[in-house]
Amino acid sequence: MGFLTLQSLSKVFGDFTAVRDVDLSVAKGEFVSLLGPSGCGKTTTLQMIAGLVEPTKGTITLDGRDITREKPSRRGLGIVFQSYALFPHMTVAQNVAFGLEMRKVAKAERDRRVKEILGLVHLAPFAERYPRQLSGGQRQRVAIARALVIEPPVLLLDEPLSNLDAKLREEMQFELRRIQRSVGTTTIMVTHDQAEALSISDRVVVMEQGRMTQIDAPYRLYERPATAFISSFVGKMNRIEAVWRGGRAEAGAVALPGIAESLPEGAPAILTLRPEKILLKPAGQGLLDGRVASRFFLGSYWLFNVETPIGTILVSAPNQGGEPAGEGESVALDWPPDSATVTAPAQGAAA
Amino acid sequence: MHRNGPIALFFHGLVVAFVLAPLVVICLVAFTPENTLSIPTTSFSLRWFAAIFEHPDFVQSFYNSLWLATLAATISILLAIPAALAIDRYDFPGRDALNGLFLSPLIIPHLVLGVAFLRLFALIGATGSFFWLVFTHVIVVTPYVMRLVMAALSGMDRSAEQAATTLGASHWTVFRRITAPMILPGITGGWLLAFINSFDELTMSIFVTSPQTVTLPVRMYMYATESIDPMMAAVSALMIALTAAAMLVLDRAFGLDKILVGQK
Ligand SMILES: Nc1ncnc2c1ncn2[C@@H]1O[C@H](COP(=O)(O)OP(=O)(O)OP(=O)(O)O)[C@@H](O)[C@H]1O
Ligand SMILES: [Mg+2]
Repeated sequence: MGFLTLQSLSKVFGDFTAVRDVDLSVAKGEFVSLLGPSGCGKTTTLQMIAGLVEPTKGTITLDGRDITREKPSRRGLGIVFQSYALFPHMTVAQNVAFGLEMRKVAKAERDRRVKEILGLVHLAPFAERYPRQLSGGQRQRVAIARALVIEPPVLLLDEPLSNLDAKLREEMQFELRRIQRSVGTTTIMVTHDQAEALSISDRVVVMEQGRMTQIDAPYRLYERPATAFISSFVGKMNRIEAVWRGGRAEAGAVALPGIAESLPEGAPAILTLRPEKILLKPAGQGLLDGRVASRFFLGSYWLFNVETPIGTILVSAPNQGGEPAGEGESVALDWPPDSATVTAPAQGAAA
Repeated sequence: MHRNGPIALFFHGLVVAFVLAPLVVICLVAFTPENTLSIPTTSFSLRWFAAIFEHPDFVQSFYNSLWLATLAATISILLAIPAALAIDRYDFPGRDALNGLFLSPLIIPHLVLGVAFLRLFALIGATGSFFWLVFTHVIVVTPYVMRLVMAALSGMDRSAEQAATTLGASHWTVFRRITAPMILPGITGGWLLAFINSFDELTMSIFVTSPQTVTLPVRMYMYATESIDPMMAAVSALMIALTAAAMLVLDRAFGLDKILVGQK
């Protein structure tokens, strides 16, 4: 049994079900992300764990103890809000000390711990400033320090990086992971940024319309998305409509290799294939010929839209220094059979 | 921030001049050595300021008003904070009715309120009581306080309170340490507005004051109906000076922009 568990947790607002029968078990020290589009119930789930939203149904346990009905002030969890929710009338040090004050920690001990945690988040020189005198990234670190200083068993983060610009966000992702590693706190982070979820979590939970549809390690989520929605939400994905014939997928008389489950003869099938798994070869030397319709340079890799008889296929290729095939040129596409998946389309329609 | 053009500046100047001119004139007239309301040209005199202190009833009325306004503003703040919190935070039956009730004195003319209270006090035998005078002022100033406190509450970030709760703070601690400081501009602004409104209320007070509880505006009104002399100007000038001094002290102690506008 996990350190923090959710069992068939649901939240209904009026006649709208925001979170539906969610089951999750988080191990001690683990970093789990809740990933999903806007409005899928991520914040609601997090707030139920925090005790700020009362579950309609289900139970939450922490270290074997049922905390479903416990007051938020008694749960002792650390929470970082999307808006940071710093106390504007208190200095950085006072903000961070607040939780310790509530725990009646003696002044000397309090000062020592505040100083220590501010050092950890690289904010020691800013202790006497007010939140309004800090940059977005600094405020965010104050919020993290304030949540961590009480040494919570679980740290809950609600889109902590979404207000930051791209460069700072990347820095803070590393920073967050570094802090989490050094303190070892079990962490649940809400995000709608798939790259963020993949890069810093031990496991990613994908939520769709109030349900958790896949819980997996980042690379498995990427390689084996459970639903069509996940395959398109996490990274880029080609979806090629095909027909199952003679034990393989075919589209426009071209056989498409891929890992397949057995389908009835003549049934429609969908082949899913990541752009970076496709190799560009000189025309005539691959599985499928096509023409480069457009080409984008993205620094570390190139992105091609290749027109083929079976539709436009997205291909990405690492930047090797030279200039690859240009727009209008003929190319061939090739891919190893184990990099594509063939499934029945019904699974896609469900998502 | 875009800057004001010359025409806008001119009109701003005009408005400020229009507002300030009567105050300046009153302050000048207060220093006249003459017996009439005239602007001193050749010499200045403090005789009309001295005259005030020869009228102990004016001094008494000033203290009455000061007490009255302080009590009324403070009581209405103490009523308005919980009421505003309840209306802002909770959905309960009669919420809209309560909101309407608190704001209704704004739309009832003070003349009507005055007559109504006069009748009521005669009925319950409360005529001339200072306590009941405070009560009437609390009723007329509370809407202003409510408006400001409600605005401050609806403008504040609720997640700061939630953060405090999750850090282990009780309801009362959250209010004392987080909510109250964050809505302080609304509270002080509301208190000041209530104080000024009460201090300066005339129409209703004419009906509900008795000889022992006469407030300064009522005293001035009664005096002015009998004789017009520069002593009125001197009283007004003193009130302007007191207000300015109070503002200055507040500004030095807390920073006016901090308590009236918020610290962002
Ligand atoms: N108090 C509420 N009353 C009614 N509906 C609510 C309430 N809170 C949330 N919802 C609804 O529940 C759904 C899930 O909301 P939630 O805030 O959990 O979404 P989210 O996944 O965090 O989205 P975002 O990424 O935009 O923050 C939304 O459709 C929202 O409209
Ligand atoms: Mg959210």
